Amino acid sequence: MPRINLADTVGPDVRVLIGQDRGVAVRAAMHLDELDNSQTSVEFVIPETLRTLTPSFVQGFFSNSVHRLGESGFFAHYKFDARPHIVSDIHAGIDRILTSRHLAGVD
Amino acid sequence: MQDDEEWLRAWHRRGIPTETARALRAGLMNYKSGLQHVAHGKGRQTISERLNRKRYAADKTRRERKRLLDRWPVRFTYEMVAVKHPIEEPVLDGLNPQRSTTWKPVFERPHAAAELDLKNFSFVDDPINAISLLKQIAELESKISEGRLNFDDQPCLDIGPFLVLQEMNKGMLPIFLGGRISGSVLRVIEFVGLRHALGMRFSRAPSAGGIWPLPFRSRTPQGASPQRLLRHQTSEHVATEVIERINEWLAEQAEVQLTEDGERLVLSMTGEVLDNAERHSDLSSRDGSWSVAGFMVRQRNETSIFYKCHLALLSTGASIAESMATAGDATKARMDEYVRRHRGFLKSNFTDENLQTVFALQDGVSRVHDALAQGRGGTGFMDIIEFFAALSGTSKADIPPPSLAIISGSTCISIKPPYMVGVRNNLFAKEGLRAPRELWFNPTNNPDEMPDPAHVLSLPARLKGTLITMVWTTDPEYLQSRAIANAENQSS
Repeated sequence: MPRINLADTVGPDVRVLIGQDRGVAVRAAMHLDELDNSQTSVEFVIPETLRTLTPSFVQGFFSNSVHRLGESGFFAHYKFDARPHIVSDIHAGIDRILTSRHLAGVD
Repeated sequence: MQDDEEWLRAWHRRGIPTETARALRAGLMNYKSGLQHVAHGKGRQTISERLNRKRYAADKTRRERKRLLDRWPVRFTYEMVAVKHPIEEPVLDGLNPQRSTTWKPVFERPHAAAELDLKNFSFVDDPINAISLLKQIAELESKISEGRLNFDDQPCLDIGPFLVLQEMNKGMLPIFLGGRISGSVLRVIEFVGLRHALGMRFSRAPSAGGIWPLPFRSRTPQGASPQRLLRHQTSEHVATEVIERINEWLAEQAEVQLTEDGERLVLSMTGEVLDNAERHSDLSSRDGSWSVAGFMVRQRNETSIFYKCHLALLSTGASIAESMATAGDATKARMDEYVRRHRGFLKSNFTDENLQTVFALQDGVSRVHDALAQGRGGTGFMDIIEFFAALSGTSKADIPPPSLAIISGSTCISIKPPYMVGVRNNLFAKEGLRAPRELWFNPTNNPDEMPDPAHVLSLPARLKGTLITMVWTTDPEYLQSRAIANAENQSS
C-alpha cells in the first residue's frame, strides 16, 4: 500500500492547515486525482506535529475524492496514520463536503 | 470674518487661544497706529513722507508680529503639514463618505479643537455606540486642527474598536494629540502591541501584569504566485501563536492547558475566520489583508475565578453583502427571495444588507459558485459559530455569557444566547447529504420568520470590510469534560 507523507508537501513544522484554496493547491501538488484512481488503497501519514486540519482545508483537499468515491468508498480507499483528533477533523471536513447546498440554490 | 480666521490661523497653529490672539492683535494695531502718527512739533509732512511713514509702520508691525509669533513653536508637525490631500484609507473613507470633499490640509483649517469621550467602546456590548464613536473620529479628522481622545472604559471591553482605529490611523492626520486613558486600556494597547499602530505615546509606563496579550498581527496581500499556497501561510503562523499564547496563560494561571479538543476548536475557529477574511475581502484576487489581536484577563466573582478571552479579526475591503453580490445567479435568486420576504412594504426593520448578511451565514451559501458546484465551500461561518459556541461552553452558571459580533458594512450580527449555533433541519435533508446548519435568529429558527432585531442590527455608519470580535470565558474544566465525552463517543 503506497504511503504518502503530508509533511513532504507542507513541511515538517506546520501545526495547522487552513483554507480551501490551500487544500486545492496541496491536492494538486500531491496528484490526488491520480491516486483516487489507483487500484490499491493509499495511506496518508500525517505528521505528529500537526494539531488541526480545518474543515475548509479538508474540503479543498478531499472534496473531489469524496464525490468520486462516495463516503464509504473514500474511507475504504484512503487510510490515515494520524492521531485520533486529526481523524476527527477529516470526518468533520467530509461532513461539510456532504452538506447540502440547497439553501444557495445548488442541488 | 474670513480675514479674521486667516489672521488667527498662525496663532492657533501655535496653540494660542483665540482671545489671547485677539488681544495681541489689538496691541499690535495700537503699536502700528502709534508709529503712523506724526510726533508733535514735527511740522507738516509731504505726501512722500506720509506714505513712507505708513510703510515704515506696517513693516515695523510685521516684524513685531513675527517676533511675538517666534516665541511659540508651531504646533503642526512636518507630518501634519506635508499632507495636502486626504490619504486614501478605505475604513476611514467608509465611516466618513464626504471625506474626499470636506477634508482640508491642516494649515487651511480654521482653528477648531474637539474632545471625544470613548465610553462603552465595544462592538460586543454596544455596536451602535462603537461605530458612532468611530464615525465621529473619522469626521473630526477631516475638519478640526486639534483633538483629544479619552479612552475611559475600565476595564477594556472589546479589542475590536481598537483594530478598526489602527486601520483608520493609516490615513489620518495626526491631529489627535493627547487625552485620558484608563489603566486597563493603556495596558491592553501597550502589551498587545497596538501603541505604535495607533500612533500613541504614553507619559507613564503601564504596570505589568493583569493581562496576557495575544499580539497584534497583520497580513498584507502576498501576490498570486501559484506556489504561494504550498508555503506555510501567515494565517497558520497566527493561529498557532494564538493557541500557544492561550496555553501559556492557562499554564501560568491555572496550571492547566487546553485539551487537544480545546486546541482544535481555537485553531479551527481562528483559521476559518482568517481564511474567510483572506478569500472574500478582496473580490478579484482572493488575497485580502487582515489584522488580528486579543488578550486574556483573569476575573473573579464570589464563587469562581475565570479567564476572559478577547479576540478580534478585521479584514478590510468588501463587506459580506458586497461579496455576496458576486455570487452565482441561483444563490442570488435565493438570497433575494429571503430579502423580499422580510422587506415588504410594512416590514422595514431591516435593510437589504442586513438580510443579505444573515443569509450569507447559512451553511452552503457562498459567493464562489464553482466551489459550490463541486460540493465544497459555504460552511465557514457556521463553523466559526459552532467552534465559538463549543469553546465558550461552561458548566458554571455564574460565568458571563459569550458574545460574538460580526460587523460588516452597516450591519451587525450579534451572536449570543439564545442564538448561538446553527441547527440542522433534517426534514429538508437531501438524499445522501447532510442537512445544512441554519441560524435565522428567531425562536423557531425559521427563514420565513423575521430575525430578532436585537441580534441583527442596522448601524449608523459603514465599516468597509468585516470585523469579527468576540469575548468568551475559557473554562478548562468544561473543555476537559467535553474532551472525555468526545473520546468516549469515538471509542463507542
